[in-house]
Amino acid sequence: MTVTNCLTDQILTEDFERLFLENYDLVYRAAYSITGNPQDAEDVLQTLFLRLLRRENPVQVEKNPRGYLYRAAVHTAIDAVRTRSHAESLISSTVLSERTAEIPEDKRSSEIWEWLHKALAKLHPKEAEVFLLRHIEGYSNVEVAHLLGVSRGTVAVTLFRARVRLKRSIRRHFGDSL
Amino acid sequence: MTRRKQRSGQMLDRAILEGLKAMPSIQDVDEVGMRVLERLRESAPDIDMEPHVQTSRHADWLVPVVGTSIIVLCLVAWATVVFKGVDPPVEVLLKTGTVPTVKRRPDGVKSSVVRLPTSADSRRNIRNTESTGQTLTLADGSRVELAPLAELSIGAASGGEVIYLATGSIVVTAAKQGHLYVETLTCTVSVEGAVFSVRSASSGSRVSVFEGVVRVEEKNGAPQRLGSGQQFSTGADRTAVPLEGEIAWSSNAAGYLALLQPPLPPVFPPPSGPRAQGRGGGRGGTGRGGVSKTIPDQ
Repeated sequence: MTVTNCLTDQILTEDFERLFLENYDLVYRAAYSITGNPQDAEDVLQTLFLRLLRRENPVQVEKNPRGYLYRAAVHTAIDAVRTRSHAESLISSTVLSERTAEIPEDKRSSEIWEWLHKALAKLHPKEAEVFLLRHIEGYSNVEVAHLLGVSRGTVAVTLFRARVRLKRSIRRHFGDSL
Repeated sequence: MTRRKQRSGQMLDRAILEGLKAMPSIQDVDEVGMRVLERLRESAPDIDMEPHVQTSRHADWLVPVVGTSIIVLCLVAWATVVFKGVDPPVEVLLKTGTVPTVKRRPDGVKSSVVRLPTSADSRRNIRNTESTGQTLTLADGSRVELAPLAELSIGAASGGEVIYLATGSIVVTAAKQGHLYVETLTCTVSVEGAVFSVRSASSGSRVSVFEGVVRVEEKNGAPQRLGSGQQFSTGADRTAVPLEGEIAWSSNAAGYLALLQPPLPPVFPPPSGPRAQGRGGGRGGTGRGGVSKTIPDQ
């Protein structure tokens, strides 16, 4: 698929639309897993494809469009969460409680979900990429390796490290309540 | 601890399950996708493509500029390596404002002092561009006072340091320890702990001793030993010159002259005629150095 030449006369071409339709679900779900917020995930999706329209990273997209888009989604989502975390430290707790109320009803489940996407945002982007693909998207190690263009060994090691970090984070976050 | 680890593993699995449950449905994802695609279609005509084109143009001129810079740097590095052993012309101009330290002499006269490295690699040319005498201090403690426009370089020699006097006059106060050599176009002076002056010109060299003993060897000639108050000349002009005239340019001339011992009888007869009559002169050969006893009027 050629993405570099997908624009003519500044109108979306068929190639670009196909690229979007083939990958928007993966991008959106990856962004949602990390941001934990539908609006932020939608912003990530739009930002990413707007960048493509501006041809900011066309060469990388050509080689492995799906892998590139997925990675870009994880990175952009992590950036969004980090920016939001900084902003949230400045806003009132009332606003925060309103946001928390949007997700799962069960308090414990809600807490775990809150913790998970915050912990994912703190992982190294490569670890977050592999963990999400393996555990949330349900890909096998081979499929993850193929999608990200790395070896199976790399996937296994990265996944192991991600799980170790997340377990440590759980112990720190939940403490005695475990 | 192990139990806590197990619990954290279980909790992580539960978090993954919760995460899966919390993921948006396919319908929700599709809705978002269509919404975003619509917005992209709307915004496409407004996207200014100029930045991309500019980046491309930027790269067009950047590549040759960077390439040329790299080539120039390589040439400079190559030239540095190739010409490393060649002495550049005058590198250091000995000026009061550029010397690193200033010492005050016992007589209260302020003199400029520069400390020089002594390795052969560090040999460099020094010229006094001041209108007065300037003093260098070598690593072994020897002091070299340069007359205006005197030019020399300093290098390492076996057991000490060597001063290559290209032109002009210097007064050397050699340290007691270590060996110091002064080399001119026509002769070499070697010394340990003495005070003497050397004048070098294209017509010849002249060595005058104020304190201690120096050993002078003319090129292709026999070595001579000079004591306090004695003078040795090479080249065409071998006329004895009063010692105070040799160091008249020095602000410490009186101090050097005070070092002279009471007048001694001449060791060697003064040169007469074109043939030198110094020690070793008897072995024949014209053009040998001449030694004379020249005591200044005091």
